[in-house]
Amino acid sequence: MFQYAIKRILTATPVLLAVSTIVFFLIHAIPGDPVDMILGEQALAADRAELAHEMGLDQPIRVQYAGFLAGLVSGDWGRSIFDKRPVTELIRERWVATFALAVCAMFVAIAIAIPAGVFAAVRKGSFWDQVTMLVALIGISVPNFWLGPVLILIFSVDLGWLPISGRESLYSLILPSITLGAALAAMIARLTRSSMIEEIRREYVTTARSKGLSETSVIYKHALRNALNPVITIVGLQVGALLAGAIITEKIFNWPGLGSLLMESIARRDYPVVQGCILAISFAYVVVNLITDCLYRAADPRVKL
Amino acid sequence: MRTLTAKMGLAIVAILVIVAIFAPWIAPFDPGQYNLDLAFAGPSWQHLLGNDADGRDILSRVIMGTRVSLGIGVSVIAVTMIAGSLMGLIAGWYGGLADRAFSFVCDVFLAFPGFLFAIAVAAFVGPSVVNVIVILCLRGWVSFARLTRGQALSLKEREFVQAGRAIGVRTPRVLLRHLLPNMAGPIIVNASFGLAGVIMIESSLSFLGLGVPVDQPSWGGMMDQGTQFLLVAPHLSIIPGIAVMLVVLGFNFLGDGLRDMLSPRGR
Repeated sequence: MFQYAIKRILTATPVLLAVSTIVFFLIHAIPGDPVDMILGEQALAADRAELAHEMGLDQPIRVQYAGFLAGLVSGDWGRSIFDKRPVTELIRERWVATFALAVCAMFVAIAIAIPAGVFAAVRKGSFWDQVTMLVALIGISVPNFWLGPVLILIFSVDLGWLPISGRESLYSLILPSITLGAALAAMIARLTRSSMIEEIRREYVTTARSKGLSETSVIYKHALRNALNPVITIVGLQVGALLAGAIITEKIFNWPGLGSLLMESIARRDYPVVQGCILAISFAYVVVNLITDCLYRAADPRVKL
Repeated sequence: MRTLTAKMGLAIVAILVIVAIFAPWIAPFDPGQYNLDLAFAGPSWQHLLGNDADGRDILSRVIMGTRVSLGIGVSVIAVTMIAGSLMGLIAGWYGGLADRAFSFVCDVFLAFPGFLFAIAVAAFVGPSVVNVIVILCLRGWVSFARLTRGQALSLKEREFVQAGRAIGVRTPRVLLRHLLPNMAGPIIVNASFGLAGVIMIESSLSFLGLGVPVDQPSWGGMMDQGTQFLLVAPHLSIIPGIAVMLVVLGFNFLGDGLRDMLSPRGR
């Protein structure tokens, strides 16, 4: 297990390096001169030179790249052009909100999806199975920038139960979590169903039933435990999609997380912060995948290390 | 039921394609025409879906938006399907170092969630239809490549391929005439789901102001304007969102149905 973890970390390192390289070169993908884009073409030559120097753009690209990588490792991710604060500090302020949102969305998704998937699987082929799967397919197809406003209209405007936006109380977390978690719930439900159907067919389930165990015990204690393994892997892989989807959800609900920081910085052309946010989200994604992989192998001894 | 969803998917997609092709003739009004007297007007007989914040006819804008979304979706899938499938096919067939390098490149692209990658690039290159297509192509080929690579790895050991090589059929012909047709099913299914995904990402980008420029009608852009006036005029954001949902649902239905029809273990 330990060996596997080390091996996995070693393979993740070049991926992280490649991701950082792509993010570094993004600033050079700006059509024309980045300094012009930030200050406008009428800016004074002195201001332009100062900004170019501050961003390191006056140096040869090799030096810029080396400096960028050294900064990444040492925790110096540059400074915001807008308010001159270190990028890492801005990210530290915001990531907790995004993390809380993603965890709650994940919780909402799992809490709805696994019972729904089991419900459909044990009734395979029935009317209720088809209805559940139809709802799941619709759930996958609903854009979160539509679901969010609709939930606001129903639960905040019409019923007045929940706050429209912001992050004042725990109640503020409910609508954004549902908005972000809905598509994931739909996906997990479909996966749980097909994985359960596969498990129910197996011999150990027949054995458990013939021993006279109750159906609840057969389904939940035996079949579901094994059926969840592939589901866990996919859920881990989906954390990335969740973090990216959070950008839209945060915009709709005015949620002060990394996604809002990213969008504010894009609007201000504050490129160092944009790079920092993208790096932070993709690093989180790679690390979560790594952890899921290791957990999966720890949970299922049949998987070869 | 399964074939029913496939048929429904096909019907939705067919209608949308017709709407997209004939959009300028179907749209009752000029989608760009301002009429501030009608700003935020609700649905009426003249303007069936009402008017937006600038008094533009929402129905006409939704119809023209179909053209933009499907146009982007089809272009991206056409390019990524051909390029990705060929790259995967070649990597899987030859194996060795080239294949390992290729898999690493795939892993790097997969290390970014697709939507984050699109936002990252769009934030730097700026909004335009061409940019959206290029950005989505940059990431979209990976799923096709991984699919055909895996298939090539397993198919190349099969007897019909070995037989073909034994009688001296040249490699390009083996790849294109013998391997590729055997993968057509999964590729088509992937294309259908891919279209749903591409359209979802495109409208999300436009919603964030990073996709289709605001002067062109797009569903995401309309949603963006709509959410700013959510409490004043909810129809501004609800209607284009339904359009996105319908298209994505159509392609997902179609993909689901096709997969069940094409896979022998279909459930």
